[in-house]
Amino acid sequence: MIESLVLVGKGLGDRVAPLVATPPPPRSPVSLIALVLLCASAGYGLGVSGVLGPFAPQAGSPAARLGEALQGQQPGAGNGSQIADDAAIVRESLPGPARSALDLLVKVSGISSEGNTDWEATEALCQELQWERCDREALSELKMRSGL
Amino acid sequence: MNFTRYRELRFVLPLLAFLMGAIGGRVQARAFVIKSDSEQEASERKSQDKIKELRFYRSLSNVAWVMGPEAAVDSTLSLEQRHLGLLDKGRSVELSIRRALITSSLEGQAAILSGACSQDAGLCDRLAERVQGVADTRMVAPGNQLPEAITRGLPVSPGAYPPSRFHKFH
Repeated sequence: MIESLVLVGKGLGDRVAPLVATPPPPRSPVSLIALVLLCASAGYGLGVSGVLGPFAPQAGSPAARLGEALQGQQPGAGNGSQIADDAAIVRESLPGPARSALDLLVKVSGISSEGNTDWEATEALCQELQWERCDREALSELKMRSGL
Repeated sequence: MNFTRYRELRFVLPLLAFLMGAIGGRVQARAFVIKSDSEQEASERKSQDKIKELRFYRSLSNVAWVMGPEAAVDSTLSLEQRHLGLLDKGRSVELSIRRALITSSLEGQAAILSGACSQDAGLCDRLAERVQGVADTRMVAPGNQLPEAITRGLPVSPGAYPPSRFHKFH
């Protein structure tokens, strides 16, 4: 029984093997060249259109970029790490007492977290800075009035 | 052509072409933007940047003003005032009122408010009302109540204090 199965298998193998081992007919390089040109055109089109990233010049200084982010409906939307870097640079240039205001502004506006305010972290920072009022109501008011 | 080689090239070459096309496109687009950026546009962009910087310093001083300690208010007021220059007279007057509100000396308050009156002729006509309006935007003391210079009726008018005395409080 086993011997007969082996023979059948061998017979099939002999028939299939030539099919598998046969290389495909050589293709014309024209189709490859056409594909390359098509891809290059698609890449160029995307590059020019700006889909792969904006190429408009950014606001010049870190403070200007922060101002731009604060101006938007959702501060910091899209580029949180850049905003955080800018805030750190500007912070260095500020006198001591103004730094606490910047720290709180960054937290309360959610400028480096796509406009979402982490209220618990903001309250904690406010208490750490020893500002007189750090309750949620006052901080919400602060967020609203920061753009006055 | 070697079959295995062909199979590799079939994937690598189009990918490479796509990347090179994308890079070329971006470089060309950027060059076009820079080329079209004339002197006038550059100057416009510079003034736009100035406005954006001002927006930042304004937010900063607002945060300090709403409930920050006196030192933070003082520091951020100076920063905003320095960047504001002569750009916005109305805002400059408001900043002067804020400064008067956090100034402890009566004479200082009166001198700063007199200086603000010389910037805005209508301010002294409704001084208490205007100053109260600014004081109402601060949630903590000092600065959230009418200054004593007004409640005690110290003279506040343009020219009431010589500039040398006025600048002492700035």
